[in-house]
Amino acid sequence: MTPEWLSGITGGSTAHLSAGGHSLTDSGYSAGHEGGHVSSRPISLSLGGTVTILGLSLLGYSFGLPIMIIGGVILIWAVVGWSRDDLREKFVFPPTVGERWPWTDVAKLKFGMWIFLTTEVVVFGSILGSYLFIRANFPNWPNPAEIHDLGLGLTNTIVLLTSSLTVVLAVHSIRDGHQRGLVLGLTATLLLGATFMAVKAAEWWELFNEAIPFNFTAGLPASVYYFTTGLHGAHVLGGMILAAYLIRKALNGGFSKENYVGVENFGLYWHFVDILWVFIFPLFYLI
Amino acid sequence: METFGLIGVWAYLVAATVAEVIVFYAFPASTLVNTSIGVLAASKAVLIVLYFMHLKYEPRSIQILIIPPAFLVVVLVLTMVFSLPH
Repeated sequence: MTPEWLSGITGGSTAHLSAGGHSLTDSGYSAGHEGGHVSSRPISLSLGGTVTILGLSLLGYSFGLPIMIIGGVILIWAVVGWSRDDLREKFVFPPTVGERWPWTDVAKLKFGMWIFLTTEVVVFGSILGSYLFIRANFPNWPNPAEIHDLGLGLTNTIVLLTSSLTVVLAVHSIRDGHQRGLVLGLTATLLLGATFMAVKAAEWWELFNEAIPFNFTAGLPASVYYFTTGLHGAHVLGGMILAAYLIRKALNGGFSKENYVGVENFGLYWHFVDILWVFIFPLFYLI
Repeated sequence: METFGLIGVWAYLVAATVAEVIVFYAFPASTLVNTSIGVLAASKAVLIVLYFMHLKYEPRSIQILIIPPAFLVVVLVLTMVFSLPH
């Protein structure tokens, strides 16, 4: 027998629970859209990333590379699938605002992005902290000016700072309903990101081909430099892929002044990558 | 913040970067020089977070969210800098 308190929400085939202005029905979540909000893509993406990194850490063994390739395939499959689902509006997101204190006035997707960024703060904080520890205790650390091209570092810093401006202008454009401004801002961001990567590649090439090569096996100063700037570069590359995807979606009219959280979250990510470089530049080129 | 204000923030970021390089070239390496460069870098990061990432205009719950990781990182970095090798 159904308890009285429960009968009101389970009785009949059309029973529903109200949740933040939306409804939970027998057939699943309905937010006034055709799609559902359940997707396996994030799980596939996480699995692919985990297996790829596992393979990377096992590269010293014969089975490391195959594991990494399998992880890479899963990762690409998840990213392509997720973007296709998104472009086809196959799934929609649940209520846009948190329902419980203290998140009652916080957009859920933006909250998720901030949580992600806090984890990234700790990751890069640990890496830069380790660098400082090594640096403080390494007896003969080379003078940065003798190794790195300060002009290239300065150029890349200004390029990345400018890309932060273009992405924030893109967010402001779509907030005002200007599609053209959004596409222009994102395209400029993508081009500036590509410029950053090209300068970084030239810099690495120059270091590799010096009379005394400063390559991956050139000792601790080289290891920490390539690891830190390489991981940062991977983040820039990831941001460029996201920017390219957002441009395509924007050209298809996928954003409006009411729906631009994807652009806003991309902006948060890109600014965070910019902040990382704001610290990496002085730590590796000046101090 | 309007477009003009955002461009103003960007101008400060570029100017502070150039100032870091000038300080590096103008003075011999010392704790004071390194600290000055660090302060300039930190000021740039704060402006990006407040105005480009709009944290200044976000609800208090989001603003508080970044305090724990920031605190952890500051503690971690200070511990690393002042640690001795074993």
